[in-house]
Amino acid sequence: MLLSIENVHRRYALPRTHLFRAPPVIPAVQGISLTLDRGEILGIVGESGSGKSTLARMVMGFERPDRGRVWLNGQDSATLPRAARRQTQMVFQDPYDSLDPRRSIGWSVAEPLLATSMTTTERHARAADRLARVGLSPADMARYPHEFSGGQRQRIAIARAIAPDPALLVADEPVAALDVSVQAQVLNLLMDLNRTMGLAMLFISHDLAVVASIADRIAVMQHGRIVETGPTAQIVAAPEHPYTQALFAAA
Amino acid sequence: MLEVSGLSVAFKAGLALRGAALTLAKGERLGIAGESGSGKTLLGLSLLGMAPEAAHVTGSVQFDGQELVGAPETALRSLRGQRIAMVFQEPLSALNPLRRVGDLIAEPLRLHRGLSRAAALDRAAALLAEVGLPDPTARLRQYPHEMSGGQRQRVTIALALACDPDLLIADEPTTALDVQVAAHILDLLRDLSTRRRMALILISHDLRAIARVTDRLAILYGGDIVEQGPTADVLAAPRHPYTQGLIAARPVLSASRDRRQPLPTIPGNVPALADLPPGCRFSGRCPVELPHCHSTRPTGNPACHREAT
Repeated sequence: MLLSIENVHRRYALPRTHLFRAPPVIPAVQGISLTLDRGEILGIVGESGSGKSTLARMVMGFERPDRGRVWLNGQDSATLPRAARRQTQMVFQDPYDSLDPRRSIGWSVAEPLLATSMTTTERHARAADRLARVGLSPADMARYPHEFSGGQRQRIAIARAIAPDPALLVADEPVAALDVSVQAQVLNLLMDLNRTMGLAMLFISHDLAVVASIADRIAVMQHGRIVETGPTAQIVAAPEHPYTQALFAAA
Repeated sequence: MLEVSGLSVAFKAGLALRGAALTLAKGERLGIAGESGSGKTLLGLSLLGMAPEAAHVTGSVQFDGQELVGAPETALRSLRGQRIAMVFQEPLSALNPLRRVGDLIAEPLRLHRGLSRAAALDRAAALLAEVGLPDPTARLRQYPHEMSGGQRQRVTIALALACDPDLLIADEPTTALDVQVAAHILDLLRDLSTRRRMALILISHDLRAIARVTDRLAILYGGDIVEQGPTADVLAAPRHPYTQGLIAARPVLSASRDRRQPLPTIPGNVPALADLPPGCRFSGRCPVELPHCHSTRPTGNPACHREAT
């Protein structure tokens, strides 16, 4: 088991509205349990506010759950040493925000390797290899983000994420900002990396059709809970929960 | 009612819109579909004389017999908001955060229709009810930030309807919204158009949204209308290679999909404005390209040299 999420909860306090009253609280995630095997793609579907990004942030260790545990490779992620954290990498929705505009592509892709024992030459070679894997040319290393289109930037962000050889990629709405014709290219790339590198993925999206095209299993989230989970073919053929059915009707 | 012919918009880098031709009858619903950089938003803005200042607009836009290209700003201003209204993607930036919803909607009514404040607020409440907001009278006193994204988009639609326009242009009105909320807003737009016999232009990258609302569809690529026709026909039997690729590339829900098979894609990226080919804009990415496609611009509908052979 690569990832095991055990009954995690996370609440956020809103700003105080009254001086003498406790601030209002939003329960973003209310008791979620999930597992993910090596090389598996688990799709999380839900609308904004369903808690799917909070879940991703807890898996990444950006936030601690209030209750429950996240286990990575059998280790509690709360006490994971930094080197082991490199096992999980993330790709975000907006490829315009996730790359430093003042750094060359080669620098950005190699940056996650700076804290490793790799030499400069090794890092350079790794970055070139990763750019080739995502369909760009190692010659692009000297170029800057503004010279690339949205789809190409998302490829660069993916190259950066796979630079340290992670076992798990958390992808939060990775194609939502892309045009339809480019979306399919990036989805194909992710499936290709899943096959060739054995990369497991937590693939998060609001779009059921997108998730169903890539995931082995799907978990449907609503109001911080999982309302339905199962193999993709089963969920698509016979959605059981009314909320899942409503998502189908809207798709 | 609306007749667009030879509408071109030139920037320094090149032609962002090349001789667009469209017609729209009263009460008709037209979808304009395209990816980013296709010129769809620019087309919408040009219809209202709102193209950016750096742009050079030529051609003709006739609205009820009145020529809008090159028309004086005062003439355009009296059309905008009154006879032609527009709804944008991000409702939060279209609504003044410091003013109550009631006052926002009442303002055009007081300005254009000369209603008293009380009469304008009454009318505003009726409009909020018409766009499906429950408890409209209480809503009048709310501020935009007190509402959800879907409710705010309903408010911008109510605002657009205030002066009973003959044409509503909605540019990506549901892109910022969740799937289910988006579906409700789209249904609302379609119903309003039917009830009010109001023409609607829906600009979107999302073919599902356009299929849900419109009767006719124009597909834009690189500033060219590559294909237009009845929405159902174009989506069921696309004839232009770009439309075919676009429809094939959409992720569809299918229980039988084999995940080892890659999804169909359109190869390459949309070129930058300055790098668009002079002939067919889609040449270079087209799977069935002919030798002269790159240099000679195809005409007709669909605008494709293959059709002519």
